Amino acid sequence: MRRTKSISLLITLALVIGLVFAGTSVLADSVPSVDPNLPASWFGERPLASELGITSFSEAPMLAEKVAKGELPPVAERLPVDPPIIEPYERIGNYGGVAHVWARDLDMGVGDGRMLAGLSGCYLLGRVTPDAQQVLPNLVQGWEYSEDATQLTIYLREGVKWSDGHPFTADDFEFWWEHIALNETLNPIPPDVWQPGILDVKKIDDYAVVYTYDAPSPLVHNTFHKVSDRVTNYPAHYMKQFHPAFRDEAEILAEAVEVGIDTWDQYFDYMSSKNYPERKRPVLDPYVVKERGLTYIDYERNPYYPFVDTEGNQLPYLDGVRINRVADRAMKRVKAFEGNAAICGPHLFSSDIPLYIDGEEKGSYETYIWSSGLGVESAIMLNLTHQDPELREIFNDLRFRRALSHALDRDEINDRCYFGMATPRQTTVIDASQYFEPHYAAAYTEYDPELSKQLLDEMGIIDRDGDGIRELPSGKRMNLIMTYLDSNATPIIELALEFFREIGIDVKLDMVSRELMVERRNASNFDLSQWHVDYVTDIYFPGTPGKSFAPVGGGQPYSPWPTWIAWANSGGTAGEEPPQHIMQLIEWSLGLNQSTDPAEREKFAKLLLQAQAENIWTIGTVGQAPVPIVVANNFHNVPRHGMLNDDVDWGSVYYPEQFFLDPVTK
Amino acid sequence: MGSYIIRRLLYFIPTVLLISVISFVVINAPPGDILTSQIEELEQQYGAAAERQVQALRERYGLDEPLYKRYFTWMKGIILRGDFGMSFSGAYVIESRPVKDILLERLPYTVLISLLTLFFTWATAIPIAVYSAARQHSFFDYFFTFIAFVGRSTPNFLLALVLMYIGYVKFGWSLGGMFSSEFVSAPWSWARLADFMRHLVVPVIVIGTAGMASIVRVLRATMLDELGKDYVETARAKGVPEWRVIWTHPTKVALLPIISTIGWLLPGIFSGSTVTAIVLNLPTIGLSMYTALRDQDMYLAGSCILVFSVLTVIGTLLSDILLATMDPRIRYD
Repeated sequence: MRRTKSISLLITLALVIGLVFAGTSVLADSVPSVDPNLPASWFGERPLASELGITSFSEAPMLAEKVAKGELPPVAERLPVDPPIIEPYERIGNYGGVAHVWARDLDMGVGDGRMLAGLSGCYLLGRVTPDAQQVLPNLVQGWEYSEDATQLTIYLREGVKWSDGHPFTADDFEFWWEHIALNETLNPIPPDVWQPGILDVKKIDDYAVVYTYDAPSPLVHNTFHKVSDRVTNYPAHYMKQFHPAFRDEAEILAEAVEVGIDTWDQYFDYMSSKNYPERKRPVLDPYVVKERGLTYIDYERNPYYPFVDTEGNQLPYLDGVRINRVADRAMKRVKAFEGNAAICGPHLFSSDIPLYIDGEEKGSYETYIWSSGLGVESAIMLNLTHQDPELREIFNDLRFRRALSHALDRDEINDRCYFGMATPRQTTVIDASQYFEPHYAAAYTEYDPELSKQLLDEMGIIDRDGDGIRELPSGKRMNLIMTYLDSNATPIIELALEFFREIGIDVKLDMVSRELMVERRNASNFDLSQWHVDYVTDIYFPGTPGKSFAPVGGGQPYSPWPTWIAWANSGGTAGEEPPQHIMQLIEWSLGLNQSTDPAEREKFAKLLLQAQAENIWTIGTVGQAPVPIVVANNFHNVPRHGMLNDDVDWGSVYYPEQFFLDPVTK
Repeated sequence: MGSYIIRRLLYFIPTVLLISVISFVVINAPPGDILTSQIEELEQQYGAAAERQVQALRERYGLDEPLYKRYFTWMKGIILRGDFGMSFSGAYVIESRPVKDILLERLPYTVLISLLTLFFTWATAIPIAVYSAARQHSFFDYFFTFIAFVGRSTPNFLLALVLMYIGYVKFGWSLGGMFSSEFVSAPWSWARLADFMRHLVVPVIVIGTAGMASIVRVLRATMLDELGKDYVETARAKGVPEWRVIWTHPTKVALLPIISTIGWLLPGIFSGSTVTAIVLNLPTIGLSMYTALRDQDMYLAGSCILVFSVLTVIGTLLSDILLATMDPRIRYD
């Protein structure tokens, strides 16, 4: 435990130093997750140019030049007939400039690349509202469910084009479905095992497509901002030339061999990547890859991007984005501190907030404090399906979980790790969720170590040998080990274990690799673990309550109930059948996903959340923590407040197309 | 001598093959593969079907094939087509690109940084060592010995961090990388060259100092041995000026142990310093090997190790030949 002590000492020290540097500006109440000054139109369907009476459109000078030379058709021909509008956050921007961001190769899809350039193509069909309550039509005009929600009709916007000028139509959906999704070589997993299972995709006319599902799927549009709907990754008119259904396989293979690939399906994957200029794959994103250097990737604006601002200027404002490639996330943090990034958010540490504020003047940037948007930064989970019967019984006893929860001084954790700007909470959905109730977050969170001790005494977990550590009712030593992955939350865990020790529960830490953690989870071979609670906005919580509230779904490296999940996912052929009160959770989660009646969905959601609040399947610590976003002084239209996590696509819900570089400031 | 070289070249083939087998096995020893390290991304894309999708991808990219089969496919590509396989470490799992391209694009800067470092090392180490030996127990001998020990015992990355800090706080230099933002993709110009040189100061000093220390120590010790020998006394007795006595005869002999290690420098030149490259964000091959090993990008990692092994073997051969030409006492039968 000496290590733990010294680490918390360091944290305290950092805090003190931080406060000296930062003055009082850091010490605020909990951080808001939604900026009150956001344009109202960001919360509703995209307005159209005609509704605002815009009839003429302007374009960036670099595009006007190309039009003048005859390399591009005029802007009005490139845009849809009635283009959708994106209202700027603060003011109409000016064209030009290249914004620099920094990212590790592996993070491009999840971090800065996505934040600024939408490089993962995530917000294409639909876009999440800034409060993360809904997904609204973006590139498409709208969608409509059938009565029983087994069919979904998507209506496309007429005149939306790929970056090479080819129209984006129902043909692209049809190609994706028939030649990619249903192709056994490209997609060995039959679509009916996807979640939800798609049975058919049918083109009605050029601008309408019908999806048919195997079960009522009233929430499937919540996935429209995700990559899993990969239609937007496969422009039919371009990708057909690499598909043997449209061209002689021998010819394709001859091309493939030139780059060192010997099967057509690998080559198809290869050519579908949009991050290599020589592969020339058209995109729907705001930016198109232009050049790959040794240490950077350059993207330039998509001349066919269909959105305009409230004055009819085609977006994006920026000429381009440069992603500087770093080997390590630490270098990116350094670059942000130096003021070398237009914007930098993902993977910065909350504990570095004072450091960033201190560097503002020298680096000509400002530090915005956003919310992590996580229900809990680190939730402690006991293995409810433990192999050891005695431990399993104890872990499944609510008194034990309550004892641990009451032992935590969450205010101190908050003060020491997050400058008091996070919110002490139990595991539940975020405050901005429509299903949120204050008592869900407050459940068993008061700091009361005496109550904890009393609960443990009641259970017969008593210190028999006087060493300050309690023994199991059977008299055996209670050797508990927390298996965990190193993360930003490690300081929370170290503090939490100190609190546990104060009530006589000794937990040792065992940091493992992800592979080992998954292996132990699958074998249900761990005592305790921890993970952050994400997927708790209204976009994801209904779709994947399994992340924290019911033993369904899965995939994550942790789980408080591994064998029950295995049972539910395998349809009862693997794992262990859960007890009745857990089966109930699985039923509610199914109801939440399949019910077509919003009132009924709300009922199921609240049942799940109420069950969590009563049973604390995982023990929450603090949530909605402050995260630093470094924004250059000359980079504008970035909201002052927001959330930064996967639920909101790493900030791409804040319309990065309308961010701009002001040549005057700086 | 000729037959010696030919014999050595023949040994070369089995040695390299053996190294390639061992390195491939070792790289594949840890559980998991490139897909495991990107599983989070895949889960977000595929949800509950992620595990099956991962299995499908494994099949497509041959990651589930037995080790020996993957090894033979890889070797076949290298021997027949000079194709080192595909690297998967991109933003997405499907973002593959040829390993060859990655190595080739990084090669020029890696070699440049390494050669500059080598030049720095020798240009400082040899005079210091000779001076220390000639003026043993003088103030500067102790001074340089101290510096050399500090250089030897300080971890490179720490020195890099300290110098970066000083560079940023005192001189306002941008931290890490090879160019400032405005020059990254600019065409070559004097301003760009100056910027490049300024960025190289820290890495060259950091990597150079570590190497310098060991050369100074070895060279100084051998020099001290030589300086006491009769032929040096004879030269002095004949009235040859002291600087000529030192530089012509004993220095030449003292350099032999250094020459015998020249060959080992070869792989280092091509890999560049790994840890320093991480800290300073230099795009060296050593760095891509590090990331490849971390992400279990096996063809890239395997190719790096293979290339470095081949260079080590070639380097050893070169050292032996150099030594034979420099030192007439060495004979090969």
